[in-house]
Amino acid sequence: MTYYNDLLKLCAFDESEILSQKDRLERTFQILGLGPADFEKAEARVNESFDIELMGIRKVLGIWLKELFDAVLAREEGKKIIYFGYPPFQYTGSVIKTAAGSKNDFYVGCPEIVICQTLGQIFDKLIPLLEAGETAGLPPGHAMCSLLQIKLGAIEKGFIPVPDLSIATSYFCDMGPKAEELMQNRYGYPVEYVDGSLDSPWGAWPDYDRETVYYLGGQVNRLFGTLKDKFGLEINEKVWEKAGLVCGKLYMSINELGKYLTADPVPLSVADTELILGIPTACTGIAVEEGPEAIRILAEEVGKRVEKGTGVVPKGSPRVVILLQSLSDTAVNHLIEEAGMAVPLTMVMLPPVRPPEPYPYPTLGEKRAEQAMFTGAYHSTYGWIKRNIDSLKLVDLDGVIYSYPFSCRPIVCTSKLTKLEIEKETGLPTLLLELDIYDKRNYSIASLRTRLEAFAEMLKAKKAQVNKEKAK
Amino acid sequence: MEAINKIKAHIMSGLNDLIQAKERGIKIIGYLPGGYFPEELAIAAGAMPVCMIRGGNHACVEASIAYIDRWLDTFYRAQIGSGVSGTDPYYNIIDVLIAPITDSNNRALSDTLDYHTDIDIFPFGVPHKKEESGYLYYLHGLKRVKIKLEQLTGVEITKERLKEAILLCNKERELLKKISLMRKTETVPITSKDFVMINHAAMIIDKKVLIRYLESLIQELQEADSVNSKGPRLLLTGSTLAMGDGKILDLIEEAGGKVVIEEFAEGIKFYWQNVKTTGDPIEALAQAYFTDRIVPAWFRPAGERLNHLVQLAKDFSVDGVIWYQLMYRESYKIESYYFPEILEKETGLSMLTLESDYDPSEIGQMRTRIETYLESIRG
Repeated sequence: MTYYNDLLKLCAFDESEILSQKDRLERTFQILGLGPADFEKAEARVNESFDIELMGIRKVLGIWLKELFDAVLAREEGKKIIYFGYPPFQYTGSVIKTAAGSKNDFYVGCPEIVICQTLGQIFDKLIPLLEAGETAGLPPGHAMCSLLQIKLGAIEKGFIPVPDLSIATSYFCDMGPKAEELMQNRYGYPVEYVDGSLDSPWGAWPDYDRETVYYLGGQVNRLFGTLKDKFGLEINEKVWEKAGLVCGKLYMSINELGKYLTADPVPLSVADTELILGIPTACTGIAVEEGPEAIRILAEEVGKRVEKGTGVVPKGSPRVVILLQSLSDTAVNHLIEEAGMAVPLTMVMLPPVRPPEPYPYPTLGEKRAEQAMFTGAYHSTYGWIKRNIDSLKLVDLDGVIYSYPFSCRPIVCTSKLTKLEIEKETGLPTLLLELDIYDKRNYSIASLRTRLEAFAEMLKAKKAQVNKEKAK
Repeated sequence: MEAINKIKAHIMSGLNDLIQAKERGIKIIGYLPGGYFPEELAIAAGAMPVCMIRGGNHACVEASIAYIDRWLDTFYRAQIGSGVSGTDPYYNIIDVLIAPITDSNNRALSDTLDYHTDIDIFPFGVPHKKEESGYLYYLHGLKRVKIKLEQLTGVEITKERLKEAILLCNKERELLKKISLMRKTETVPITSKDFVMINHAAMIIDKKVLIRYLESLIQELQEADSVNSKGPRLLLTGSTLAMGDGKILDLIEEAGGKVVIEEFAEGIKFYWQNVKTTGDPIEALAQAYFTDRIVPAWFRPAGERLNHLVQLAKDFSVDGVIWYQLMYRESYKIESYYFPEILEKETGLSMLTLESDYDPSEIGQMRTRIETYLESIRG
């Protein structure tokens, strides 16, 4: 038996799969420098961190590992490689992958997220990558995005290949494209910059200036042109629709799971839901193929817990929504529940509000740009806040934990206004929890715990008061 | 020098001038620095433009903590601190704040002021790439600004009025350029502190008055001796050199260095080229302010700006480069990583990178680093 068998089996690989993939697996582990001691530690970490009683969770962990193999070996396996930045513009990655059709000669993905989920969540080996990224041009102590440091570090160390094209989106995030430019200069790969303009005035949501959509749409259309010229990939309405259907299966399974997550008591830890939510935004390959079935199995298992009234926190615990979970440190994700709060939802799982009627733009890029505007993120600070508030009003909650990475400028520049507006518009107490979801060197678990416990106490007291008044 | 003293005195009384102008019914148009708001539009509308360029005060940075996270550019946090708390009187007299949105840092200022104050904020986007669609989007933004200013002032910005304003601002640019170029020679007749001061004056005081002073100053400079004939010649560059942030220039001067050319996105005007006076004037403004100017670090690709810096270093025969940036301005931080290699390759020069959070406690360490750098240049 090999040193990696136990971990892979824990992550729902079957024996035949391990055998048939032996060369690929061993080559990946060789490139990543993972040896027996790493696997022993990872096995203990997975047992401790995730709900491995559930086959669905084990399968999802396995899916992330398969994504890792594909990312690391993409060049050696002769694939054309296209990376996209995080968060992606709409679901461009899946559309590109769909345009490639049944040909399996493209790797399209966001490998830094795959690395966080695997080398971070499973192996706890992100720090060498962060350090490599810091040395290669994104230095520490300057609030540089740690996700970008991981990407740079991974390319620098040869963990992931230099791509044939990278897609970077600006205006929501300025640092991503600038870091891409650094990598472009350093490794010589082409970058397609898709820029927008977050200049809608305060209070304008959901109205917007059509020129903003023409500009962003033009950028998206140019990306389509580049994909055609460079790779022969044709992106059109039909392809977009087809990609929507492919992603739709994944989203349907997530929605199915989501219905159970809102039960009281909440049946699944936020540490486990995190594994699911990263799939549609980062992956276009095996995770999209195998994800729906794994999540369906998980939903079935979680459904049984709901029937039995089993939960990860006691029934009646204060219910909070959080913005982002840690993608590298499960300890952070568990803290919220350890403090006595239930997390039925994250911000991305909030029910969408009905978007305004679309304008009949003539091109696909413009149509997608308008949809992006309606998410708020490409509209303005106000649009982003307002959209979240409208969704929050649709859910029964006791509080909001606005957990965010301190090195993410677009979030940092809106956090305090977000808290003020959420509290004003919804009355929900809101905790701003500054952390780093990719780099555990940047916070103290003890201080996060203190803040969460204090917030939980306040919510419990408030809830008890409400219940007392109801009982009168 | 008499003209320098007059400009300094005029800066001191600048606020009173604006207050008096406002009492006479003239609208005061505040704008964010970065060089993407053409003052010509405000002048053509019969209004007075004033740039929100004061900085350097750590108390303002501290005051911002109540309104914004600390992980944003120091200058913009200082603006938030002074703007929201009302401690910067300029924020209290402006009738509108024109906010060219260039990155997350100044977007944070625009949004936070909009939320916490009654200031009328008018944002318009500045794309990050010099291409046709970016130019058109910027032009669209200028047209929106024009309408806004016309509504505010009740004055139609005709082509004639705009052309007249362009001529006035061109004159100012020409004079600034002429003064700046005087520093190419071995004898440097004006200190960087004074040159930076007149740049700041160009952002806040009446142009006609300043032009008179600059013309007098040129005459005086032509007859002046070198202000400091010894010491290494330096290029000072970075993100923002605010009015009131004189620490860096003081330290360089005290250490015996001589800044002979400056390049900053915010705080130094782009005076190298004039706006064309032929064709449609608003298109000419977009061409000059977006396409022709050298890009700041948040643009891509960076090559144009970095090549410009190399050229300045050569043209002004500098012995070294000091890169002065403010904390958490990520685009400048990233470029500061790889520019030294380009600089060394193209010119053989080294570069010193300094960062500030407007904190007085930085001075000692900064002084040591500057002294050491200048020693290394002197050999």
